[in-house]
Amino acid sequence: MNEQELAYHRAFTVAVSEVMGTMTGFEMEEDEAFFTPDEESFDPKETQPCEISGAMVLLGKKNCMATVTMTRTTASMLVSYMTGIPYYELKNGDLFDGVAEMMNLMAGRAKALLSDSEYHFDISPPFTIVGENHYIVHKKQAKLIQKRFVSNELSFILKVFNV
Amino acid sequence: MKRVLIVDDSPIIHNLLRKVLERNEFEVCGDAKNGKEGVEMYKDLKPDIVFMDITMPVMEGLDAVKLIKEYDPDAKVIMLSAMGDEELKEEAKGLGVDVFLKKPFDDYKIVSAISKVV
Repeated sequence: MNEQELAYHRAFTVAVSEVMGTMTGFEMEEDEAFFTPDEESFDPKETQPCEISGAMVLLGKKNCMATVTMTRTTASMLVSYMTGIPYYELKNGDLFDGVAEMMNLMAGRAKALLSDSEYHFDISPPFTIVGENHYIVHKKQAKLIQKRFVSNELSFILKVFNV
Repeated sequence: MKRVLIVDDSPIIHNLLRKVLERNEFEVCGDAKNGKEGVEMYKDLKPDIVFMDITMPVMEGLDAVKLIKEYDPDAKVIMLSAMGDEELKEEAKGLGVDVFLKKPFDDYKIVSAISKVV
């Protein structure tokens, strides 16, 4: 792991823990056994299915993309705990905005943690990518972070990669 | 009961803030989706407190604060942002923002911020 990867790794791990703990009450832990397929061996069957991704561009010395990807079930539970709205009453727009906002909060917290370092960055407004079984694939050399966070039955994948 | 105007482009944050404020006995008198709407609603509603996001379409939070403070120098503004950097904080302070609150937030953070301004 190079210095930038290490800095991002630390900042985003703290950011995920703080944001999810405060906003949803879930203690999301890193899945140490998560297998990260690389460009050469990428096989969609080896990745977990995903339906909603929150994404942001991180503008710094090197520009990056940050994404948080999850199933609709996970998004429903997390947004429900964030807002207090029962999961069965959440509309598509609530889920899409909720996942984008999670990404926004995580990136914002990481930005604050890295603001005094050489890896500081600015952030774009968040946006959402929606579709059953979509995959966010990037060049192997571009990867900075690829982690899976879990709490009981819920999980999501956080990625940060150079663009 | 103190009246609060929420200015944020995220419906989720509106919903979340509204719930926190209402269970702590504040009245949410308006929801604005961007800074421009926020300035217009401030003039119409004259709220006691404004919760203002920073990054929004149409008009950003800091520009809206400037206009609100020009209209009413005594306006009480709490800035909410996911970005906690010092430069932004200083800029907000220079415009007269009363409290700069970092997201994520919970009931305690929100109520403490309000108690500092009213």
